[in-house]
Amino acid sequence: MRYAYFPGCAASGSCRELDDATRGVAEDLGIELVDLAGAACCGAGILQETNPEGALAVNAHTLSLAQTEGLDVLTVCGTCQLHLARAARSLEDPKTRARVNRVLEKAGQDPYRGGVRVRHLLQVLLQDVGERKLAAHVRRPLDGLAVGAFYGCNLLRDPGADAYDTPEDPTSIERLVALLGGNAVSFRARTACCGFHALAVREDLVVRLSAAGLAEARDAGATMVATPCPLCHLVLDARQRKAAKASGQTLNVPILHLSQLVGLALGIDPGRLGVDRHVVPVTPVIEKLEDREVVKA
Amino acid sequence: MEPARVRPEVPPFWVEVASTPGGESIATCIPCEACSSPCPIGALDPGFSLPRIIGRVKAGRRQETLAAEDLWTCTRCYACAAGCPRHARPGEILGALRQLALRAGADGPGPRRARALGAQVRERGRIDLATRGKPSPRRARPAASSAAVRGILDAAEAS
Ligand code: SF4
Ligand code: SF4
Repeated sequence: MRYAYFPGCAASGSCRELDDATRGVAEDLGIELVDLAGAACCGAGILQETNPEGALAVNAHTLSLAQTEGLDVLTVCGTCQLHLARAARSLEDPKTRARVNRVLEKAGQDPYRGGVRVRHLLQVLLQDVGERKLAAHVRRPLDGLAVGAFYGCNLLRDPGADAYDTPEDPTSIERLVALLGGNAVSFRARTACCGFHALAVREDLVVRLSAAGLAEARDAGATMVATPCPLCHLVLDARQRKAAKASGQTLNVPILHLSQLVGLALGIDPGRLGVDRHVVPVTPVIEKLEDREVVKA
Repeated sequence: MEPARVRPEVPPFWVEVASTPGGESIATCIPCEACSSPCPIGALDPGFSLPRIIGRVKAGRRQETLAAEDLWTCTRCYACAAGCPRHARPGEILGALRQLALRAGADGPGPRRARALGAQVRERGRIDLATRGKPSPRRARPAASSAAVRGILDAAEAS
């Protein structure tokens, strides 16, 4: 299994632990991640507004880099997944592709010929690695861990999301958690927006939004939350104290990146997964798991 | 008596929105109120109302719409589309309005942040989300080849 790996800006910068954890998981599962030197930001919906044609062309460039390698793209971010997959979808229209390729040509870049698929790690784990192989690699089952499944919004708006889930009522994270031996907790707000994009304008609203989601997860019995999107992580983890304060409640819900959760179940050393970089301590989760013997393969 | 028309007819504002990427579906909007119920921001902030924004567009209030801060309170979560009986894409319509607002030189925290992040992508190939409490102990991964990105973005803008 080989993929053109697109970590995105968050996992390349402030959420470096997501990149570390993803590489660890890939290595353990025998997935080869090919770095796309020269791939730029997906635009995050912002470049799509400041320079819409440029955003499409930049994403076409990323897709053409993957095409040169003969690979599909693997993402680890809901927002990257949405914008790259949307670009890939529009670029399947020959007229749009020809127009965008003229831009790439003017900039001295290779054209994109179409056909590259963009898939999130969640989909790759469930469909390409497959349930059997994944379950066989679990060396530290998550039993006893009540994991709240937080999808966030962007991942589910991926035009290809219906190939592995039901976007209105998703179950893929829950299925993954169950495969890892954990106890998946579903709650209504799991598909809600974390508010990330309104941070610069109305942080007060964003923390109220995330406080409501986290309280709902906790009330449903979750002792931690896992998310497939680093932007959700930046809100749910890094701003959790503000959320607790704004809502007048204690939260203390550890937030794990999906890759970290999988890594823990595969028996990877928590230090390598970067759990110490979080703002809300993940220690209670690690302590619970450390009581457990890592089953040697 | 009707005054003689001295200016050429400018197309109505909603037509301008409909011809901006993402704004196409405003043509099918009635407007009603249905898209406001799935909106997480509308639920928390009574000052934010998607139908009100769309209503302003339909009423042709261009300047007021493009200067309003509420365009930037939207989180780009696209939950609103699920509520629309006309299969419009209200979240994308707001995206089109933000494009027009940026082009019209709108100011405020939202437009400033969008411009700053857009400029980061152009200059460094990526966005630096310096939002974590403590600075990263490790050096960030080197940015994408920014000269190529700059070339592509500039070529797109010139096209
Ligand atoms: S995209 Fe904007 S308007 Fe639509 S539901 Fe989300 S926050 Fe509300
Ligand atoms: S976008 Fe759809 S739901 Fe919203 S006001 Fe228009 S027709 Fe109604």
